Amino acid sequence: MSTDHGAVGGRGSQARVRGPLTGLAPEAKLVGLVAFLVVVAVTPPSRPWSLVGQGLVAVGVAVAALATARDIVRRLVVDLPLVVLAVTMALAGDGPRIDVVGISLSRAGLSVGLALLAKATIGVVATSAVAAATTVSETVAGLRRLRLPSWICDLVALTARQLQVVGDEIGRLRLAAAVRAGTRGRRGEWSAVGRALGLLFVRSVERNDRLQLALAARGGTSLAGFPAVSEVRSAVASPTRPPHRRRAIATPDAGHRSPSAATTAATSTAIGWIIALVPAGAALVLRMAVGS
Amino acid sequence: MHVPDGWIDLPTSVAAAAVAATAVTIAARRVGPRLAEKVTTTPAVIAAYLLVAGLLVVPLGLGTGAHLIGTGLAAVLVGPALAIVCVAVVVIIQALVLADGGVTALGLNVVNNGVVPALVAGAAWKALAGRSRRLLPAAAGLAAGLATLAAGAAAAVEFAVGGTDVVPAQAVATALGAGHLVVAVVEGILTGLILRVVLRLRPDLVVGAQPVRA
Repeated sequence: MSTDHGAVGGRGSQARVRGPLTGLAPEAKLVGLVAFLVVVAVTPPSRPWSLVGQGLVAVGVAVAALATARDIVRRLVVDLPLVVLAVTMALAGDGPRIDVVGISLSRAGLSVGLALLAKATIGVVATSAVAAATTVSETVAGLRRLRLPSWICDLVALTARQLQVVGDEIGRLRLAAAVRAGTRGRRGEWSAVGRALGLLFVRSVERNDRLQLALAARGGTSLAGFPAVSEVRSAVASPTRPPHRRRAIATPDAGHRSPSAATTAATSTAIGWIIALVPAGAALVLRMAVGS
Repeated sequence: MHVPDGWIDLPTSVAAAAVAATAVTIAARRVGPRLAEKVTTTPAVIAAYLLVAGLLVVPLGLGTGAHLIGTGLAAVLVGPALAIVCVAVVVIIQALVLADGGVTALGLNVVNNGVVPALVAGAAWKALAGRSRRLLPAAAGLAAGLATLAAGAAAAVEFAVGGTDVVPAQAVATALGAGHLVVAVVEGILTGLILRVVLRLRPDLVVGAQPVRA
């Protein structure tokens, strides 16, 4: 996860490792990711080799994106319940049965279960690749350019900032509890988690009140209803690129600029989109061409 | 549980995304006037709280653990409308930044983890809360547990509609149901414990404990 949000201090201000995919426009990466995963989703379980190929494409992109294997493996642990469901399918599926190490399994159930597991895994790997190559503020800028309602983009950006703050808070709470006494036994652990989370909620709300006061002190209270927070938007917009460059990407044919600069920007945007859609294209070819 | 990519077919996913978008828009409209000028930061702080709360794991034994999902808690503390908005933001961040939960299943996850449990928990809390102040944590725990079961039921319905037909829907529903039963009990206990703390420190933060709140 790349949590550098630019403005937040500490971990956020670390220099960023630039890989081949960091420079692509975030909206192109998001569209490319969704296109790739849609192709994977419509690949039937009867084409296992297509799924294997698509998996290799996802791994290749993850390598190019400099995603760390440790992060991906840790995320795959979340998919453990899915293994249970896949086993259920293999045991309870219809149709002809086959013996695998002495256990009678449904052939169709087994292949469908394995295909679903493969698709979920490909999803985790591909999304990890995009997440590793894109900062939160870039993702938000991409969502904004994909015409997601601006209030929800603002909320995602603000939440990403609060995440680090609230995360640090829970770290302090845990440390304080450990220093005082630690926890005894399982019951102690439960009530400790309950206490920590209750305290964390109260502290989060009180932090929010302070934020609110600070905002009011700077004259920021005149925010009209919910889906209109334009004042904040300029503050949370991607700090990674100067505004005029963002506009150039958003509207490549801007008339008031010199034609050659506009052409260059348009070309690089087009190339970025093509690169971002390559994995989806490869997945499509694999779905069509590789044998059933 | 998060629905990953590829488990539910595309038409169902698209339909769920439409439902999710509509529900979140309606919820935002309802939240807007109530929060007025607090609108910029309150949902962001609650969403961040939910994201962080999911990282604390309590031991269940046999090396397994469980964590808070928090939709029921949010519905009890800040109301179902704001809870839906917050969980939608949580699901977006989990899918796009943390790579947890499918990207093509975004709409499904907003419906399962946000819309359905928030509405169920909100209704249950409304029905249970007014009784006795001492029983408020238990009422919140019950509401959160019911919300989790409703989320599991929503996932089972989605699987019946848009999942594979190789496996009898009953088998999948049983597996999902058994899993969610455990999760629901954990969610109920944790929510009750958390509400007890919040009631002791800042009872004014619990919507249901203060019937007349501006």
